[in-house]
Amino acid sequence: MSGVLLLSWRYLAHHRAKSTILVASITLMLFLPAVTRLLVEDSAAALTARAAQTPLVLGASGSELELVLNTLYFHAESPPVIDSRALSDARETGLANFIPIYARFHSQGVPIVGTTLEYFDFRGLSIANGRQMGLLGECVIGAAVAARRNLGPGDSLISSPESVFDIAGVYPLKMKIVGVLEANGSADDEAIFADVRTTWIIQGLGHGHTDLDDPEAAGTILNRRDDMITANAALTQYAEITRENISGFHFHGSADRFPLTGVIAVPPDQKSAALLRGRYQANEAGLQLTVPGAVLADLLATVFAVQNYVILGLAVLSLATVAVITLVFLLSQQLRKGEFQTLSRIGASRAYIALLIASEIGFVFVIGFVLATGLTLVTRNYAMQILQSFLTL
Amino acid sequence: MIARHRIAGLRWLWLCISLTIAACGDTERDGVSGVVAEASASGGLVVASNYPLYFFAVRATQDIDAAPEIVLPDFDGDPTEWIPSEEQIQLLQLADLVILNGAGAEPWLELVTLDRRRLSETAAALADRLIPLHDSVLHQHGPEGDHSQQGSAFTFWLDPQLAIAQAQVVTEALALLTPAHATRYRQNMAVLEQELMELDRRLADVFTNWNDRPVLFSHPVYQYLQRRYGINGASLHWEPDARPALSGWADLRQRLVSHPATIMIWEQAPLPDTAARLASQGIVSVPFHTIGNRPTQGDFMTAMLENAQRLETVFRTDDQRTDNP
Repeated sequence: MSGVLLLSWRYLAHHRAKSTILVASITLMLFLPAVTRLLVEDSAAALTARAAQTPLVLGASGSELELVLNTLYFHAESPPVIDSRALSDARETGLANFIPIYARFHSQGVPIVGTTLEYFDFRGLSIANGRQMGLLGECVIGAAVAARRNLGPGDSLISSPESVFDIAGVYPLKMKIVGVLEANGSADDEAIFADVRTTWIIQGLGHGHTDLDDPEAAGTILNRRDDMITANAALTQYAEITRENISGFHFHGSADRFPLTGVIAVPPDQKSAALLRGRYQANEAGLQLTVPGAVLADLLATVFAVQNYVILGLAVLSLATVAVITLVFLLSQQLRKGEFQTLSRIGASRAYIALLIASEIGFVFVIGFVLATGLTLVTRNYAMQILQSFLTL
Repeated sequence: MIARHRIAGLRWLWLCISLTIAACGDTERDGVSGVVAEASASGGLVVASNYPLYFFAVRATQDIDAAPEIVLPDFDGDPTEWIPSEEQIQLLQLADLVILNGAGAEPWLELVTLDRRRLSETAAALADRLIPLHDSVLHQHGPEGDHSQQGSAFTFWLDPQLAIAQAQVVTEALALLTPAHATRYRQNMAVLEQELMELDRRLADVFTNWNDRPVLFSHPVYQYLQRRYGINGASLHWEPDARPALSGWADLRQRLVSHPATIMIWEQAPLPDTAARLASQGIVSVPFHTIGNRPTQGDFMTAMLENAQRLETVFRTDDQRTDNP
């Protein structure tokens, strides 16, 4: 028996190119349908879990999917915004705990999420290293961001301008990292969190500068009336918030008009959720209240339908592959007639020769199966990263 | 419920450890970690944003076992100009309840990240009785920029009736935090209310005897006192620890033409030469402490009674001076 296995192994090893092609074909034939299904199922489970943890999302009317993906994964480009007034109005209903999200800016591709401390409680996020953000200009970062960019408490991050052509745009803000979050295998690992007011400062709605009553600021005064001082563009604004200059930071305009990309609503019970949804049905103020679970279920239904077509296609392809492999082995036997006659002359039975061919085929399938399984497991480990890279697009 | 207690326990443990480590070499931190350690053994941690609120909370929880620990941060000066330190922010973030005055008395709130659900603002219950401010200087950037909004006067507690309303808000916030003690809090509040009513009567007597004669305030912080007792007052912008500028004296002369005051009420005793120069113009300086921060001795009630006592004495002297010129 061992002689048969040795001979077949030596044969495959000798014909490396042919064996590699056969193994690769079988590996791909098994790997592709399996990984497609696993990837979709794992991704669907991850998406559904985060969506299920997020009962309701309030945002601007328009694409429900864009609103949900930006509120849950912080990756939309220039998402539509709502006024903070919508948040205060919602809070007045007393039907839920409302958590603001302003995910519009980024630092070298990493989203900067403006929110409140309630978000961390809501997601069950704890600080692994350092402390929670406390002052404007401070931020905490996700575990993956910290690991990838080798950042930790005491380091700094600078917000990136929205557009390189926006020369009249807002100044980048240097933010102090005060804490790193525990990894939780979600989009929170890949984000920078700051107070929502810090993100408004990034946008230029708030800023800091020297006191206009200060003699040092005399050269920047455009106009001074009894109750109003107007400064010109020469007034230098602070690019970093520190304990020394923080008292010089302030906001201009009505806070009710400041933007948010979404608001997570966490009602205490089903009745409150139903009442809240009723309030935002056919909303005339340009708002919509969505159920992330339902929105993602619709998305996943489409994904599963596409997946079924893909798997059907792969199954047809697999049949073709099996046919080709069969043909290869049949043709191979024709070419190896002389080899089999030699084996027969030196005493090998027909059964022995059949066993030799079968063991060669078996080796090819076993190696292909093992490789396909290994690749599938490796891919499954990186399913979330792969999913998030798709969401980034 | 068990999970919540476990999380609360972990919060206390974490805070105690981190503050104990941070405390090495910093005396202020020693105080903070000590307070937290005490609070962890009681029914929670409550931080007040100024002294009157602290006093009301302490009085509401007086003589109650396992009542929340009431903490007044070390403001190191005027609570309205306070910027919390790193440790103080941690204290605020871990407090079960942060009692705020509101109406712009906590500008630091705009700079600090706190959990909104743990904040209780007393001004919200007094919204219809706030006095808007009209004399703050605003600024804008360029001709098109928006400007900041003006606020309201915030020294409510100088009107004992509003102090009672504030104390009631504090009491109800404490009752919501620890419902088991709600009845005792309200009993304590009833006693405090009587004392504040008595203070109200005392101040009313003082100002009634003053007969609507003009008074100057060194700073515009006495709006609620003025409204409550119908004081014929006008405010300057003089700081007790700074010599008034020439323009300040000129402003005073101009003001005295239409408002011939013989009494000037200060937040603290003014500099001796300022008081002497005012006296030479026939104006007696009298401190009426606003008690925004912890008094050096006594408490809110004793400080307010001392304020009333000082006014009584000065008014009586002024009466005698008027009767015997």
